[in-house]
Amino acid sequence: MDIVTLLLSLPCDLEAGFIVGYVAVVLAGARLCEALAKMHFARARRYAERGFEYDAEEDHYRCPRGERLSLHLIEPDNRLAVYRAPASRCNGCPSKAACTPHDEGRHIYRPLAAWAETDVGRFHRRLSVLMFGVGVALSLVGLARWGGRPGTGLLLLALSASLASVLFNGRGMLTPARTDPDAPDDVRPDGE
Amino acid sequence: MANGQRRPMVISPLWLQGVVLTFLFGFTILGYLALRVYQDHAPIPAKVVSEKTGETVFTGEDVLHGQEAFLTYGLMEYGSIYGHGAYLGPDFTADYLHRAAEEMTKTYGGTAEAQARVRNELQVNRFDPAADALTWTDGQVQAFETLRGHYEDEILNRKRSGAGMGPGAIPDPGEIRQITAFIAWTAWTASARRPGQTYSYTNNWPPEPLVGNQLTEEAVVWSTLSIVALLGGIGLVMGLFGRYSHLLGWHGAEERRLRFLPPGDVPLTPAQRSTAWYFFIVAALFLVQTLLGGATAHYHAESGGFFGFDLPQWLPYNLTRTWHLQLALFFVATAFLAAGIFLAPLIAGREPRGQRLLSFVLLGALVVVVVGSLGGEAASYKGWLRRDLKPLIGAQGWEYLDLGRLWQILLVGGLVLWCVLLYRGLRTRLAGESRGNLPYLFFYSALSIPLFYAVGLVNQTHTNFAIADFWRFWVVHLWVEDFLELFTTIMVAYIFVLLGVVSEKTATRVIYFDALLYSVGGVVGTMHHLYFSGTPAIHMALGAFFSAAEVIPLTFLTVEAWSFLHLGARQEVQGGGTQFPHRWAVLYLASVGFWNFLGAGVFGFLINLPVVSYYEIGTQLTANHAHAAMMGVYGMLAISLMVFCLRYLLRPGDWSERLVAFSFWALNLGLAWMVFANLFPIGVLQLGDAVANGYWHARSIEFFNDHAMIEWLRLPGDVLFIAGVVPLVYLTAVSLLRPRPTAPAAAPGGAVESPLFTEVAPTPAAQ
Repeated sequence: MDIVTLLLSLPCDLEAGFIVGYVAVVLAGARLCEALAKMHFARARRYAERGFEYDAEEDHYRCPRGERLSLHLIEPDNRLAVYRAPASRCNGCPSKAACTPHDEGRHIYRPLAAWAETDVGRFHRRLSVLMFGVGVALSLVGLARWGGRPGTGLLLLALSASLASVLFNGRGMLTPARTDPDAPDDVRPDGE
Repeated sequence: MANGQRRPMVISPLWLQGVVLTFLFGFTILGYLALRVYQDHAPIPAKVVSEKTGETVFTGEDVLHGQEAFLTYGLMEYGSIYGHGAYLGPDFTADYLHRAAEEMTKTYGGTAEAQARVRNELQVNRFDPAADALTWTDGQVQAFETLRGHYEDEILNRKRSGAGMGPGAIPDPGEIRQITAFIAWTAWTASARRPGQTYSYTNNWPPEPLVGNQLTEEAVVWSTLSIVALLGGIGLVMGLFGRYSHLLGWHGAEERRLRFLPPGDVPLTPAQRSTAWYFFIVAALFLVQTLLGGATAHYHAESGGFFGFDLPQWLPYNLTRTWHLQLALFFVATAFLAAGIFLAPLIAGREPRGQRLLSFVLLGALVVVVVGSLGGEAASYKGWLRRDLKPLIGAQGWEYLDLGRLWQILLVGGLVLWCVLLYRGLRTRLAGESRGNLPYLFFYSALSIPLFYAVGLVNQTHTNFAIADFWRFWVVHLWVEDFLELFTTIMVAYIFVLLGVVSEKTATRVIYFDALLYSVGGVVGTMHHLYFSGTPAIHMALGAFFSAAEVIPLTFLTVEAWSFLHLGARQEVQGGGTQFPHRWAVLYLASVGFWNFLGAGVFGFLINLPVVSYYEIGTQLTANHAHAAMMGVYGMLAISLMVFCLRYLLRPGDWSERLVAFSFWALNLGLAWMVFANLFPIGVLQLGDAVANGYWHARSIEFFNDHAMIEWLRLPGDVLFIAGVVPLVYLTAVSLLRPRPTAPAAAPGGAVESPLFTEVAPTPAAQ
């Protein structure tokens, strides 16, 4: 079999075909899993503000009864912005019992940390790097066993894709970024 | 509460009624299925006679003695029967059936007619209930004699180490003959058709074309229906969750700002301090468990030794695996016991006198059980004990219930003592609480732990295999997968309440909802382990249908786990990583959510359907599920509880974020490597081999030799994982050697919500 035919042939061994498919699933699965986790994380954050509408232009929240929660303070060390409704309005509100347990007005705590800064983000990112490593290892095993037989080209492709994933993503994933384009960074307390 | 009044339930009593009714429903069905097992299990004939000579080939006593010898020599921890057991050795049922069919074909001339004759002879049920005798053809008798020699030479009494076994493991020819009789009987149940049915006692398992064993109609129909149940159930639960998620998740009306008491300032009771010993033992057992796991896995890559060293002579595969499995249960259970003891004073707000002493008595009992049972198992497998003493103080040998009966009884006694300890600690709190509130739920779930473990005492080494397997899975499934899960859910929820992360109402609602979901599928779903163990087809039908429903709570729990992660991440971010003292405990819990969905949900469901299980049972896909679910869920939970308690047991200066972080990453990434680089792919290849070349072949040592490279791939994951345990051993040792000084007791005053936090209002000073 000439080299071009060898590289373009499909694996005729079921096990070699499985290895190629598995590496592809591992690489795509790691990415998909991370994307889903990130999406759900953002959703879970939004959930904490359920029923409250955030106005990005004016940087305040509005409660389901239309009351405004202004930016009360920022805690840079904790990467947190706190918004507060006037206590006098909340204490007279019929929804108070279901809304806030104390008499200081409803607060909303808005985390400013980005996905990559959280431990959950790091967990998923490192898991992805590991999965790319699994792709490299299994592709090498596949080549050692079925190299030179039909399917070699696909095994080489799987190895290249795995190595590229490790090289392009590994460094950034193992060192969490301090900033994230999705993260709000222009939060200002009212009046400033 | 004053005037003997109990605090009312914090949520509607309908939740409690719903859970009770669901349990009643599940256990009524299980009761009926227990009855059917006793009525319809495969019979053990008083004698097996030769059709040609009329002589007795072996007796029913031989089968039962053979089963006892099989178990007490640890062969269920080497290979398997009906797919149940260990994974390096053959499945003895399938292996015997295949080899017997080949031998018989050879005896009858090796032609196509001979093959048809063999198929017919093996399918016809010649058991005469009136005479209590089974008649075997000449071919079957000759195959029995040939295979006795085969098992003697290749496994039971080898000349030199190999295939994971040492030389001369079972030197007594009489015992070898009895063991072969037991294996032959299981193979007979796998091919002889049930009276009045077109399938065998094992629902035609194993897949073996030589005897005409193929998937039954029931297996296909119930697999299809269970998928329908799964999809419908997920849709229903997701719909409910979407509609009522504001009531069901880990969240409250408003996120509160909390100031957590520095761990060094939280006063500890004497019993709480005693748990430092427990956790040191947990970490030490965990380390030994992982080292044995490494050795066990190594046999799959190099079955004759350990990097050239003749390990099988000293620690054969069956012994390393038995200890690996038993220690997994011991370290997890000990961590749960310790966490219970640690939490009780936090819940009750006080500790009665004598708790510390009782705690040490319990610890002593546990040490006796661990050392005694592990030593007994070695003595039993090595043949150092008299035959009648083996099941009592040696090994009973049922996988997961390997320990001798004496140690099993002592362990149940220890668990009962633990419940007494918890009751003493919680008594004052229980007196003032509704029986449906958190303190009672905590206590009820603790009571279920000795109760369901004690079910294993029903089994003896000579109990009919189908009956024994039925009760064995009450422990393996109901105890481990349902009631331990419930206990840990309640414990974790309580910890979150004590930390102020969720309200008591939210936690109680989540617990009831989880309990409902677990018990709907989990109780009857136990039967998914028993599709092919000699139980009637109804066990397969109900097992498949209800076990598919088990994935539904796991899906819900995963959704829930994301909210849970959010809570943890919020605490971390709000606390700047320093104020919230349980960052790593919460992260371990987060990893539990991940492994619960992947290991228990995805990998569990993958092998749940009868049509998949038919080819898959006993392959590395089962090990894949076991590792991801057992270690990923229970192991990580145990470590999470340990890390939570260590935060208070260690001096603040001795606590090391870096060591715990290393442990967290090494354990999780090591486990992920094990699963994704080795267990899952090799399991799929084995499944393919079972379909293409026969189940017996996929379970042969030749298969592993042929795929040794993938087995070697596991090594980096194992090394990383073992390295992750070392910091835990170090930190627990430090908590013993340099105990934390006594903190001043909290000032008396009004009732506090929790001893671990106070609520604070945000101060504008940071503006």
